[in-house]
Order: sequence, then structure tokens, then C-alpha cells
Amino acid sequence: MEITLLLKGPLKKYTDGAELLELELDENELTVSELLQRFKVPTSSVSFVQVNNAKKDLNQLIKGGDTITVNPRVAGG
Amino acid sequence: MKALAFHAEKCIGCKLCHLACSAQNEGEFNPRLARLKITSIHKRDGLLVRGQTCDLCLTCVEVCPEDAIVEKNGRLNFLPELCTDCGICVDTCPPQVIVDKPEGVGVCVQCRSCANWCPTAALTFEEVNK
Amino acid sequence: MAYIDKVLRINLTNGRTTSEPLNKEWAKDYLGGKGLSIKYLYEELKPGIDPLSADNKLILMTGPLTGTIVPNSGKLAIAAKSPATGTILDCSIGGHFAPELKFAGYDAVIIEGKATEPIYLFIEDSNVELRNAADLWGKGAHETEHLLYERLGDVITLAIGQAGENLLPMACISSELYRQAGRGGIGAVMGSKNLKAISVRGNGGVKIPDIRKFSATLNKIKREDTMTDDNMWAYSDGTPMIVDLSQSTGILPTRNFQEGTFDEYKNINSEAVKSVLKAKKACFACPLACSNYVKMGKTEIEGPEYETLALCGSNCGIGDMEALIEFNRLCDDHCLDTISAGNTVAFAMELTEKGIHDFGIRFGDVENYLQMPTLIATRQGVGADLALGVKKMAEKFGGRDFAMEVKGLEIPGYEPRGSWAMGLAYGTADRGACHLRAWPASVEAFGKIDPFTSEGKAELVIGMQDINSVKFSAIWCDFWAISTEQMAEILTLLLERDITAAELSTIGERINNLARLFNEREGFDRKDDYLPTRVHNEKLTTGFTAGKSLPRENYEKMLSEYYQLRGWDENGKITAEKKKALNL
Repeated sequence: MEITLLLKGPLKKYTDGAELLELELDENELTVSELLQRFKVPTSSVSFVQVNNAKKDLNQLIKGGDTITVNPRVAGG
Repeated sequence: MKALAFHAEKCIGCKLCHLACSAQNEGEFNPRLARLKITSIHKRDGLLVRGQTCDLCLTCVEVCPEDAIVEKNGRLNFLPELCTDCGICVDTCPPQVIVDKPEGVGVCVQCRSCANWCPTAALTFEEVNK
Repeated sequence: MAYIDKVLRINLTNGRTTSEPLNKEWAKDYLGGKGLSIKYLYEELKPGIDPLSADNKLILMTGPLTGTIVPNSGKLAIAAKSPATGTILDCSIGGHFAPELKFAGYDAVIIEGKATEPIYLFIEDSNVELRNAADLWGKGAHETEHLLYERLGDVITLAIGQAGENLLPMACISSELYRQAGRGGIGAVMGSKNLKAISVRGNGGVKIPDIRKFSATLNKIKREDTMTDDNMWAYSDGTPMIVDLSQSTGILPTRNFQEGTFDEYKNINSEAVKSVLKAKKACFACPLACSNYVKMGKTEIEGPEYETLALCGSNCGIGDMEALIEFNRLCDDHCLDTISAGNTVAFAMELTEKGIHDFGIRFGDVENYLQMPTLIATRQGVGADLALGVKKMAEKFGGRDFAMEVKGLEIPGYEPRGSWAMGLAYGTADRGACHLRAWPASVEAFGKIDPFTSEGKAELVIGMQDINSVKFSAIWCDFWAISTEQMAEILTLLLERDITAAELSTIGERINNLARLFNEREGFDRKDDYLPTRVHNEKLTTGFTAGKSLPRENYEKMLSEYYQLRGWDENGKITAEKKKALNL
């Protein structure tokens, strides 16, 4: 399946600086946390993820055509 | 020889370099005693970022009448016992980074503390043509 | 040493300046910054004074970290009794003023009384001068700073603009053009004393034992704990990154908090700011450089920060970055707090659209919107009414249910209906609606904690309030998500005595209790800890928060639990046991 992965802020270092990746995956189903493992993004550095702009948890199943946005943890304000 | 180089486009104006230099060489956190001058301020015509660093031009070595500043293995060395506080090195230093102290002067000794602290690699040690 | 042990006291009424030792007992109990300035005010201010009278005092307070190489330690606390709320007020301002003051040889400056004519202060080491400011009065903060720099040479300046001179409850203090002690009318306190600016140059330094070893340890901490994923968002994006987070979680204040999402959010988000970015800027000793120096058209600023993008952008229905940047610049120059100014303009827009009172300005009306900062700061035209701030405007014109303020301080950029703990944080913050005393949105709306429940929220908010009070007293900027243990480790090295995380937690608790005690003495209690009724009675209708409100009973539950965990009575008053336990 084809998906789009968006890594925000400092997290793009896990994809060598690329913020947006168009990915072709062998699987037809996997979870957000499995996808993050593939890029070695520590979940402790993630505040929350969005699938197609909706806030979802890390166990969310990804389908073909989805856009997954990964937001970094933020402190202060 | 390697000397300091400043990359203005990377500088964030945090002054950590000044603190690292004065801590290492003067034993206190005092930006005005640092042997470099990094400026990042908003002037009327916009943000001014400027760096004055020792590029090992050796002018101080040449002008010192007492040979109190010498270059050895690519590093400057200040010999306080020879210094007469004449101030010629301070006045003639092209980047104006020699600190005039009540006794003696402070010259950059290429200790690299500033570059080690710089969070954005705006200060680096690079080969200079000598 | 980490403390200089010297406080400069300046009486503007008789022009006398004296110096005195820092109260070391208090410094042990309250560290510095926020905590110590509140302690001085609590001891020195008579209850019930008019915040704009000569009886109020303005305190500039550094902390033990100030002037050292410790990352993110560049901030200054400025405190007084607030003209906006009547509560205690401490603000935090970045830039380079705090270390410069310490290099001049002072831990703190206490400014008392009132000058008979406009003056500014020039402090260079032991030389302190009160100088005539007649030619600066009436000028914006930017021109004031430029003139003082040209006149005095290499100095760092705190200045007020027209808003401070005209005693607005939303007047801030500015430094290095784009940094502000923003909230609660701290700029009006300066204005009320006829004090236009304070310029400082310090030629001394801060000495600590074993400074090379200390620096080497801190460099390692900087690399391994400061410049990490948790904090580098400040460098990669800065606060504008929060726009997308708030939009996607439905807490981006829109059209005076009528909605939690904004259709034009892409015009005001981090990508939009980055498209006009010229350089990153940092405060003293900060490797994170959250500030974005931008240029668009003829306007350049450091900013706009998230709070400005939210309150002056989506909350005013403005999705035009160039207009926002210009509005931001005008606010900075006149010294208007953008959180309060954005809220006030949005409130006027809703009052106009609802037909309650016609201020001639509607949501998204860029042309009139850009007139507002100057009109408000100079109290001209409709600006005379908007200069009152949201609370007093509601008293005069109506719209109480949607006057978005707590204790008279306008609400920051996180919709409490989509982050219930944020609601509690606004209700219980010492200076009125504030997101800096605790920012639970970061772990609730933007994290894994359910935002739509009252469970566990009191404990969450208390923990954040206490740790932040320690940070703002040491002083660390809150953009370093530093643990209490790490703070204890660094302070132990610096102060040469064993400081534990538990001791710091107690200090944080003590500071919040003392702030509460100050407010209690001014007549504040439970009745003042409430949110505007819009939050309870109106449901949001779009995005992640569609159908959500923060029901009153849930809020009451959080508030009661908060008092209980704090050791306060049901009316929010500190019990005798708690006072004793905290040595208050």
C-alpha cells in the first residue's frame, strides 16, 4: 500500500531531514507504532499522531492512502 | 594552522561562546573578558550579526616590543612577566579581540572552548592560509 | 558566587538609591526570580494598595543561575501588584537584561515611589543615575531603545511604550525590541511611576568555584539533555508549531473562542512563518533559539509567537500573515500584550457582530484591525473603550458570558473545552488566566491523557505549577523540559550545598502558596477561580472538539479536588496547618 508520512519539527532527523515521505509498503496493514519503529522514532519523543488529520493513538491501523502526521513532544509554552 | 572562523548565518546570538571563553581563560563568567566579540542586535536598519575572532594573523606577535606574545605550534602564548602594559597589541589587533586587563592582556589561545560550546556550529576551527 | 548578595533599592519619589544585602534566608526558601520577588512584595506591600499608585513596588529579580553558562538561564522576573487583576503579578522576560544586571553587580532592583516627571534609569555597575526622559515620553518602545543605545552605547534596556504611559491594564515592558514582560499590566506600573526605561551595562562577572569543571559538566548536559528531541522543536520551528497541534486537537481559539478550529490555519502556522524566516535568535545562554526573526513586505520582527498567531490571528478571524506581523510589530512598539490585545479586539468584534455595541470592527476585517493597536495604546476613538480590557468592557457594554478572562486577565491560546486541565490551570493561576503557570495542554490535548475528564487533573496541574515555579525562580526558561532531579543536580553544583528534588518541590509548593496568600490578603478566594460561562454552557461544533464543553460540575469537581490536594479549605483558603508546614 501507499501512504504519506509527515514528521514534524525535530523528528525529521529520523528521515535524514525529509519532512514528507511518500512510502510504498509491502504490508497491507500495520499500526502507527510499527511504522515509527521502522524509522527508529522513539515513541517517547512523540506527543501524538494524526491519521488523515484526526488525532489517533499509536495502535491505530494504517490503510492505503492514509497520511500519518507525527508530532514531537513539546514543553513550555 | 587552524584558527576560529565565524559563520554569521548560523549565529543565534546566545553568547555561550563569550561565557565559555571567559570561564576557561579568566575563571569567571564575564562576556566582556572574552577573547572574541560576537554581536547580534537589532539596529534601526535590521538585525546586525557580526563576529570578531582571532584568525591568527599574528599582528600582535609582530608589534609586541617585548616579545610577550609568541606563536608556538599554531597557538598564541602570552608571557605576562615580559608584558609592560603598553597596549600596542590591543590597539593594533585587526579584529579587536585582545582584552585589555588591569595587568597584562588576554589573547585568544585557540583553546576552542567557544567552538565546543557553540550550539549551531557558527564558530568552527578551520585551516587558515599562513 | 551564584548570588551577588546585593539589592539595589531606588526610591523615585526622593531620588535616593541605596544598596542592601540580599535576604539570604528568603533566598534559601524562594531561590530567586518569581519566588523571591513575590516574597519581597508580600513583606513590603501593604494590603489593598492601588497598583498604579506610588505605594506599589516594581521588582526586577535575577536568580542564582543568572549570568552563568547554564543553558536557558537568561530570563529576568519582573514583579509588582497587578493593575489588571489586583493579584500578585510576576512576569518573565528573555533577552540579555537579567545577566547584564548581574554583571553590573546586583541580584535585584526594587523600585519604589513615583517620579514627579518622566525619567529613565541608567545603571552602570555602582553608578546609578535618574535621568530626565521628557524627550522619550510619548515615543514607542522601539524608538526609545534605539535612542538610548545611541546615547549610552552598549546597554541593554527595558522600556515601555505608549500603552504603559497611558496606564493600560494590558501594557507590557519590552526589551531588545521584541521581548516582553507581557502580562497583567506590568508596563502600566512602570508608567505610573513616570519611569520610561531602565538601561544597564555591567562590566563585572559571576564567579563560581571550580568553574572549568562546572562548564565541562554543563556542556555535556547541554548536549545530552537540552538539545534533545523534547526541546529542539523550539529551534526547528518555535512556538508557531503549536498552531497545527491546536488546530488538529480542536483547541485553537477562533473568533473569540466561538470555535476551536480555524479554516485558514495554514495561513498562520509554522510553515507560513518559516516561509518568511530570516534568522533564528536566542536569549542569553540559550542553545534552543526559539525566536524567529522574520521579514515580510517592509515589516520585520522577531515573532509572531504562537500566542500572537492564535489570539491576534484565528481568534480575530485573521488569516493574513502580513497583517498579523504588522499587528504584532505595532503591539510590540506600543507595548501591548498580544494575548490581551488580541482577546480584546476579538471581544469587540463579537460584541459588534452580535449587535450589542458597534465598535465598527468585525472578524476578519484586516483594515480596521490594523488600526487597533495604535488606537488602544493611545486611548483614541474606539481604542478608549478597548483600552479597558475584556473584563471592564463587559461591565460597561455587556457580553459577560463570552468575556474570555479570569480575574481580569485575558485567556491564552488553548481552548479549555478541549483541554480540561488547561481550564483548571487558568482558574487557579496566581495572576489570572495564564498558560505558563501550568501548561497541561502539552500532555493532555497534545499527549496521551484524556482531555475530556476531570480525573487526575488537579494533581497534574499542581505538579506543573510547582515545578514551573522552581524553574521561574532559578531562573530557567520553560522551553527546556528539565526534570526536578536535573535542576537539583545543577543547583547543587552551583550553590555548593546538597539540594534535593524533594526540597525543590517544596520550594515550588511554597511559592504557589505564598502567591495564593498574597491574593487571599487582597480578598481573593474560590469565587474568583472561575472561567467565563461560555466554556461551560456552549458546545464547540467543529473538529476534534465538536460537541464538547467543560460542564460546570466537572469544573467544580476539579477545583474542589485541587484545593484538597493543596491543603486548602473548600473556599480555597490556605489552612493554618499548610502555612505552618511551609514556613509561611
